[in-house]
Amino acid sequence: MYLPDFEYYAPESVAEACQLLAQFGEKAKVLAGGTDMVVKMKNELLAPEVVVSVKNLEQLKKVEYVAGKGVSVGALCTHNDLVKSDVLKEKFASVANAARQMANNQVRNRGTIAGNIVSAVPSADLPPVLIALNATAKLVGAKGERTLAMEDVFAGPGKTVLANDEVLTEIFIPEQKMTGSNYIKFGLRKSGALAVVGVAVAVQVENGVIKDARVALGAVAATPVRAKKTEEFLKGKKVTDDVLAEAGVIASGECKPISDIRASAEYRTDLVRIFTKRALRKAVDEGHV
Amino acid sequence: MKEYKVIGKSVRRLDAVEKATGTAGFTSDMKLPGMLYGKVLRSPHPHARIVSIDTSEAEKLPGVKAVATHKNTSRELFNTSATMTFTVPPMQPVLDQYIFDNVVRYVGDEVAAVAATSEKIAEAALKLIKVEYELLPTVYDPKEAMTTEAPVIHQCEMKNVPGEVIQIPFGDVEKGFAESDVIVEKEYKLPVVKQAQMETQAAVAQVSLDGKITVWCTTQTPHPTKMILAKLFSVPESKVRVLNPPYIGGGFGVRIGCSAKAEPIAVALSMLAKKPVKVVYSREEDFIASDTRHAGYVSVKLGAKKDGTFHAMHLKATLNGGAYCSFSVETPGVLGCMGLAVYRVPNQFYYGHSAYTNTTPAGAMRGFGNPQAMYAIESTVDMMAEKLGIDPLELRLKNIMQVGDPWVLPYKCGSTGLAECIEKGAKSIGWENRGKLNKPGAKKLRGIGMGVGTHVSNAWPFCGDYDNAYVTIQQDGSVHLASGVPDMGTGTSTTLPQLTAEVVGVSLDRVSMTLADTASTPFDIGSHASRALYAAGTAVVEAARDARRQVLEYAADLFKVAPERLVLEDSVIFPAGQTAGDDCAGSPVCTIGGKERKSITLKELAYDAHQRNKQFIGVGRIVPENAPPWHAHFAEVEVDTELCQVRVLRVAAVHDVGKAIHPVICEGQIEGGVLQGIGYALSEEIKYDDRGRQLENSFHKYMLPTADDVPEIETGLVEAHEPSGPFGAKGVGECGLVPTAPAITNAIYNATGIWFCEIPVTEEKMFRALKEKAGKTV
Ligand SMILES: Cc1cc2nc3c(=O)[nH]c(=O)nc-3n(C[C@H](O)[C@H](O)[C@H](O)COP(=O)(O)OP(=O)(O)OC[C@H]3O[C@@H](n4cnc5c(N)ncnc54)[C@H](O)[C@@H]3O)c2cc1C
Repeated sequence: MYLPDFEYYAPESVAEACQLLAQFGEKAKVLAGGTDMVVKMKNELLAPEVVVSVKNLEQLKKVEYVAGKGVSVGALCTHNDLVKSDVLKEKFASVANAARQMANNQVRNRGTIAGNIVSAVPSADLPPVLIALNATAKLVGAKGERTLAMEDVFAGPGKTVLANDEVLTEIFIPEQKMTGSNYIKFGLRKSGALAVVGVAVAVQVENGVIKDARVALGAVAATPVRAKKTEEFLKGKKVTDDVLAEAGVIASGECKPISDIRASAEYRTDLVRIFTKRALRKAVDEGHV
Repeated sequence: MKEYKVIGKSVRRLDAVEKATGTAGFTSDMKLPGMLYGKVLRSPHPHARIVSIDTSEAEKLPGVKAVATHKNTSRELFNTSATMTFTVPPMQPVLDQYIFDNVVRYVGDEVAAVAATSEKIAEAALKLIKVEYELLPTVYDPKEAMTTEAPVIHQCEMKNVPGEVIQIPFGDVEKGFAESDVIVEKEYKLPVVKQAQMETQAAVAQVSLDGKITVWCTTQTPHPTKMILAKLFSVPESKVRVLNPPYIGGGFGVRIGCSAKAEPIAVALSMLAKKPVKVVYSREEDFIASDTRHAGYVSVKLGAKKDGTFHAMHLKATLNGGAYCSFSVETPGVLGCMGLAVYRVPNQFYYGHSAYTNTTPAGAMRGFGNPQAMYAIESTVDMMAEKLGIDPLELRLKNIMQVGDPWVLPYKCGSTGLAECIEKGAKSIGWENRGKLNKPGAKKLRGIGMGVGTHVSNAWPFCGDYDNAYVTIQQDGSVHLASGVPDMGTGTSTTLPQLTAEVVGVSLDRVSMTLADTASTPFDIGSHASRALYAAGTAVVEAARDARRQVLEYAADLFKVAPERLVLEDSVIFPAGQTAGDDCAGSPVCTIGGKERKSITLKELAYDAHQRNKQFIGVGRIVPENAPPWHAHFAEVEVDTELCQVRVLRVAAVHDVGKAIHPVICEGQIEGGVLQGIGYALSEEIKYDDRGRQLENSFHKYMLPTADDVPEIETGLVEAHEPSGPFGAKGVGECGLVPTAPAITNAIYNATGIWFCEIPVTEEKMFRALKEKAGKTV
């Protein structure tokens, strides 16, 4: 229950952070809000020799609208920054609403969007909705930067494709043709519960016909996953209760959940069916909520 | 009716400012000069013999001042719970544990402890202790534990059954069933749940060079805990002081006696290290190594006449006691007695006991067996109502206990407002809408259900039980109260001063209380069994009356009238029949300081007495009666049949608490109990894996309802005067939890047509039940 000893740095720039990470290699870990990492360190699941805190990188704490392009979310925005962001409320309330359903108020005050992504916990709440909205992640390393589709960031439970020296600096949600999006989280209580299942959808509906759809599932596979068969099925279909219900059935066939203390695989699979249907209905009827 | 000045009013709690500002003292905040920190090495195995234990490396670690194991600590058998000190003869307390033993019996059992200059060092030292275990066979289910194949966990007369089997005969149950027209029989399975009190188990022990032991700790029973520690360490009780500092962050029964082993371990380490030692359990330790509620099985067989009159009931309980006997004899006792006390059934029988298993010890938790009993009984009553085609509310009204009815308890049913509770609660929930809430084909189904119950206001006859209190008038006429009961958040430090102020005749701000300290308060068995206000309160009233009597006798001399003619009100003494004031012609006149007076303030009188070398010291010594509080809960639920999730929308909880000394505190107790009851019904459970490890060992995993999960709770108070209670009051603390789970499960049945005979009704269970139902109806 006590932190191991470590060396601590709090660089003033991303470049300096990358430099330090490159210098210490495997021994170093980036620290953001610490709500995942400090818990792991106290539980002896993690013992980095060097901790590089990114808390001083003020430029990464803003949500901004870039006209005609989309919304830029600084990687160090806390969950409550997302909840309170007027830009998100107006453009992609579904992201703010996903953040609101996370953890509890104390954790939402500290935990960051970067930490939520890079922790790569299969039940994390933000990745599914970001994937559904086709968001990208900007990674800056000692030798340069790259931008990845959100779904390509994850490599397995607790694993991402980030190199040792890379820092996640920005999440970009592009301007959409999608007319609506929604994330439904199912936890075993209203607050302080991890997702048993999380379903995010985005749809483009014109004259009652689904032109395009993206469906992303959380907590039902090793990483957040796209339900691509479901997406294909939806394209070109008229919005009817039957179509949305059928989409749910297809999505439930696309997940590979495990059984754990919170729920059985069988129940999770069934929840995917219900939530896909419900999230689609909301996105169709209410826009980005 | 008499107008009261202080009681019956929701005055500002006397601990409010301190608690709201974070300045109130708790054990976990304590720091003494030179204090060391103790940490405990716990067994990773559910049942094993310690073949060898090597502490030499740990002792060498700089900063480590003592390492305690079974080799260098007390070999006195004891019981961490207060049952060790107040088991009623001819029953004998079960003594089945040592501070450390060479056999471990559950995952989390104590193996060794270290005292060091920091917590971090102490924890590092634990890793240096080398223990070799020989694994032993295990058993986790109480029924299995009684079979011949099961390993012996402790030697008992009946295989793995601690103490004795409780049997309560009443009438002729065989004949009763033979004469019944309708019989319903069902077995229910109950989960392990946890008190989840805010402050974890904690103790700070200081052993002086002359052998005096002082322990600040989180116990709900300082005086009995003093007795336990004195016996365990072979020290005279006069040399042991146990106190709360002065608050405890909740209890719910988890520390009636020692705070798990925090006190014994802190004292043992302090004796070895010759320095004060602080032991604070982590939340995980609190979860796995301090008493839980008893899980197990309760079965009910209920027989009734066609017209709905109950005629026979057989109640049986097989509880999971865990690895050591805490309250494993008393809990089945209370379960049976409360279960048989709600309805007038002429023929009854109860058979109940616990069994040892390789799980965390089960002990006292709010309700103490009663929630287990009432979940089973109230479910069965609803099944009976359905079988008879009678409204469940009517069926209850027809059968509930009435004042003066014969029952199984050795005290009278002296009051009941249950019928009124039922009527008020029904109105508040809209009982008449029951069965009319759902449109055909709806996927979200609503339902309404109810449950009722009673409880105790005191621990007798299940434990020995008596109370004392001192009320001393200070030299300036202010009043000091000393009572041994703690305030674990339940408001005792406000309500007992309220009683004192009312009886003596002063305003509340003139009263101050010392509580929960064996050195400055007389013996009291502590805060549990919903008893602090009812039982300790009776002693306080007695002491306050004594002090007042002495004051009036002293004043009578001055006024030259009989003491009975004098009034003491708002700190002023004057002859009856006239108001306090100076110009009351013809009144008796007293002389103080050469002046003639028609009234005198308590302040002047107390100082006058002081100058004549006298203090008024009121003593209350009582052996309390017992009395039944009553309660009816109604729940409205919504079951999302697609998600398989139950949401409690509303709860109406109406309680007969006797006189409500502080109505808001009563309501707070009820609301908290309701929420705990919701967790019991729907989400809380500690399960074990196949290696005996507790799967839910943190607030993250254990699904305690959060503030966000609180439904609308409408509380109601019914004040049926209880002749044996202070100002007519009875217990309230535990009651909110008693009938909540069955009100919810009955509402779930009303919504879905599914009986759940196992709680909690988790999403997963609902998923399986709905699937099964769909499969059947297809
Ligand atoms: C009580 C509790 C409840 C929780 N509930 C939820 C919940 O409901 N839903 C949910 O999704 N999560 C939940 N979490 C998990 C956690 O709070 C979130 O995932 C949070 O977003 C993590 O962010 P952080 O800033 O605290 O990350 P940190 O702990 O600081 O870091 C997490 C990981 O990300 C890496 N990292 C952080 N920032 C960067 C960066 N800029 N570049 C590269 N790597 C980086 C770190 O090296 C580390 O590996 C909960 C946690 C707690 C303690």
